[in-house]
Amino acid sequence: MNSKITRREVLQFVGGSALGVLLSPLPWKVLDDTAIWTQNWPWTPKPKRGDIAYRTTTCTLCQSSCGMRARTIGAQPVSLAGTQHHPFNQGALCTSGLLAHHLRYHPSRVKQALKFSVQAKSHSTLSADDAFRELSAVLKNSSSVVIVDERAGRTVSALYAELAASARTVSYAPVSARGISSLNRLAGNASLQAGYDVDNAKCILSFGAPLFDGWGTPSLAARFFDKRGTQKLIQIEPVRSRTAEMASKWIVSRPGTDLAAALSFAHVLLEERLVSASALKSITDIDELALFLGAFTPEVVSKQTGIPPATLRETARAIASQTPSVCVTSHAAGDDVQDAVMLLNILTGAVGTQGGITLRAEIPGMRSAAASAKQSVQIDDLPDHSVNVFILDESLSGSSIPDTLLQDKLVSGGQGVIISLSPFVTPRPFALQYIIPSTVMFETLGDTTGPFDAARSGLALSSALLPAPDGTLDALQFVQKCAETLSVSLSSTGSSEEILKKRIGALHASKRGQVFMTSTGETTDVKQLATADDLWNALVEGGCWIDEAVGVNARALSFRVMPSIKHTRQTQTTDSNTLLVYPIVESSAYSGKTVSPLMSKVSQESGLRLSAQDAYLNPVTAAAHQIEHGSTVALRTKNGTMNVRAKLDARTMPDVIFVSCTAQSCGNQSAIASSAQDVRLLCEVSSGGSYTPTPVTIQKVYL
Amino acid sequence: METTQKSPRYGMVIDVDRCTGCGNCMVACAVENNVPPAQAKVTERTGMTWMRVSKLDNGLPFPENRSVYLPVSCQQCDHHTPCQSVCPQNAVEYDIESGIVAQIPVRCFGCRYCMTACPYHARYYNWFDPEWADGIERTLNPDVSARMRGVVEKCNFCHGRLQAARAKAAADGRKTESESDYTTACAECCPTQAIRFGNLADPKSEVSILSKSPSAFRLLEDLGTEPKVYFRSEQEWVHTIVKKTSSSELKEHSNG
Repeated sequence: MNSKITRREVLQFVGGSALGVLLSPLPWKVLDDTAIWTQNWPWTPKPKRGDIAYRTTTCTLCQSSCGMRARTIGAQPVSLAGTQHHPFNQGALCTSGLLAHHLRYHPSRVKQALKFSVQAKSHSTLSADDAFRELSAVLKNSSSVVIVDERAGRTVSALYAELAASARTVSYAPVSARGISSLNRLAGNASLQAGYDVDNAKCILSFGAPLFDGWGTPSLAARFFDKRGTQKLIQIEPVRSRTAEMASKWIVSRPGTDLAAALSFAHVLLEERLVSASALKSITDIDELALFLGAFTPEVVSKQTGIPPATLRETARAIASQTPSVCVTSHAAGDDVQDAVMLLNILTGAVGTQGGITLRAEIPGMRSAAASAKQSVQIDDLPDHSVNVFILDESLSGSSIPDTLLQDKLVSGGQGVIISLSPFVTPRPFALQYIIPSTVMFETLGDTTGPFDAARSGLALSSALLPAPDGTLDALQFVQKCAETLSVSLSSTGSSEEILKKRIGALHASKRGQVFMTSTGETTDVKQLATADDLWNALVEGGCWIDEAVGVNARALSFRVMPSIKHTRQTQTTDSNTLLVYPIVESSAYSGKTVSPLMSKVSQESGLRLSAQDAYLNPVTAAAHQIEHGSTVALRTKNGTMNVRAKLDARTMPDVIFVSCTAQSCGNQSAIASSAQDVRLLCEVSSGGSYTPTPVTIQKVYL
Repeated sequence: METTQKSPRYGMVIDVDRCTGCGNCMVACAVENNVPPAQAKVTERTGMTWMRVSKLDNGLPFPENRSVYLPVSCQQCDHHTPCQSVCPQNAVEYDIESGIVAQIPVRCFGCRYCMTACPYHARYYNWFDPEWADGIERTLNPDVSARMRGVVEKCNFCHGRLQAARAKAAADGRKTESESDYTTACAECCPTQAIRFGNLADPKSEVSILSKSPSAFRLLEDLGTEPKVYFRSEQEWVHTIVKKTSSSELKEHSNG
């Protein structure tokens, strides 16, 4: 017998074995096990376990003060949703609010006081005591200190005003909701409080205001859709934005021409006698105004705005006939545009009218707004280079004051100082800056006023669900530290809870208004509540207080318009072939704010929203300059150069590049890295504070 | 697929005329399902969005250009579920009790056949280790495990919420969960109520009624996959464009 194993037999055996193994479960088991092993690496985060509970509170990220319900594990919120039937937001939250529980752990969070040198070339950390010791010297040696309060009406606002009243060198600058400050300016009355009653308006004329994209409360779009057919929205804008797409009518205008359009509407209202006698009577300089508006005929303005004269006339007639009507502007509009649009509201009789701009009575329990107003200043009114120190309260949601404005008002030569109470790093390279670390939402008890797109004023409290990190201050503690530094005594001192309870006690004693209770989902009269503690508990549990429909008598108001608008000139019409650059605000809900890294879902990961340094170009414009979607391009104006990523979008006007000025931080990147460039620095700014479309050259960058 | 008469068929009806493209559904989904934020190198093609809102336009030049937003997640195919058919690992399961197409990441070894098979490009490959900024991992949803890189992920109609609803029903002595106990994170957080979620098998449910309206449509309906996600629009051009759109055109918004 031949026992020799042939080469063929070896190959047959090997081949047969390989085939057998493949047909067995072994390879699949190996793959399966490999899949399981590779998903159990120790660095894969494991969600924490714990008791699940639900807490209701109030969002403080903007003035909308939305009621929110937090799902918590232990004390830690793990998800947020709107409180159903809440009178302010009807259960809706914005994207930023849904992610508010991440802000506590944001990569840009300030953990210690920081001192940034001019140009932000270096920064050092300080202890809180050392920081206030240095600030004491700074404040005592400064002849002009301005406290900027972008959320006036809070309890701390009264203390800021009190501090300003007691310290000779300190002024208080409350910043009203956009547009409302124009009412204060034109009426010459800084204490007037008002809100847009958009729900009851029959016709809304919007000058680029992103009504359905963060302008007001997140439920505004749903409220409008539910009223379709009975409410008309006319949107004037150079881009078919989310709001323009859903508006009843979209009027295409050239960028930066809102002012001319508004004055043209005013011209038509006066020319066609569409203004009521009482409205005419309320304007003290009506003759001068009529003379001034004579130049803004629809035929002349049409050449500038690109809106046909007939459309300008029809729109003016619409706001005069479809009453109540209200005219609104974008948050980013300059004072000149705000004033011109408020003039339209005055002329149509919207001020003090249901469905227009309702005047609000002062919320009980606060130092008189009228008394505060005596010490109040408007930032715009301050002479250039006159301020030594700005104190910015950025503890709630950052600051919307343009850096250029702060820079203009601060003393020149880099001698100005900015003291910022902020939870996040917000470098401002034109001044010596101190950042005092503040608490964020869910870490402190605080109050917030109600939304500005509602007829009645409101008040709500946000609760402290988590302990504040060591070394952080909330605004009420900060103002007390500032008072101590300046040797000023405040009327209310103590813990934040003690100060707020005093206010809520006074609100209860007034027996005014109604309170929404999250426990029952119902609204009750304040006078039905036996004690102030009942009101306190309702508010701490995420409820809200709503005022009765009482306000200042609009007939008592008079307006002086010309000082605000007389410097307005017809802007030069640019050559239609000139390429222009213009800033675009992507959702007011989070523009300019520090947001959760998870916001990358709507920008970086999907392209749904523009990221910082993205630009919209019309495909026709892009083709003319040989630019492809997604390519990097350099934009050069006489003010500088910046690189942006081109996104082609047929909703935008040809020959205009719209560059995003959006949220400060996205993804796992820090704010410092992403805020190095800003389109607003490329653009010209009008004397009234509006951005002007600026000639630009575009060049593809090969990386 | 063999089902019992009483089994619910969960589905969605999305009213695109009410969608403002705010992106709430995308971030609410990421919070609910522990989907991590993007790392610096992530792009639109490598991003992980179980729900992705895409812009659909009529293709006309400015100013005639019209657009709507289309929130697209897994369409939960009810018939010949393509991803399930091709998965060599049984990592895709069709739940007879709910009609939900579930993805089981621990079984997946990342071959991505399912992504190729999915006509809606609603599946996403996990290119990176999940990473949250220091501390944010404390905010993760305890009902959902984070997934390792190298697996495919997709919408599962917030499976953790379904389990919670079933547990509640059992505790209350009911055999099936009630519609009011179970909704998805995207539907819950939509500020305009454009997304409606519910049981399509219940003829009285809101989604069932809306899905039968003349303005309702489904994506790539000709393929016969019977998706359980419906869309609605009163705008004629939207229906025309959707009918003309092919699978390869949808790829524009896909990743991987």
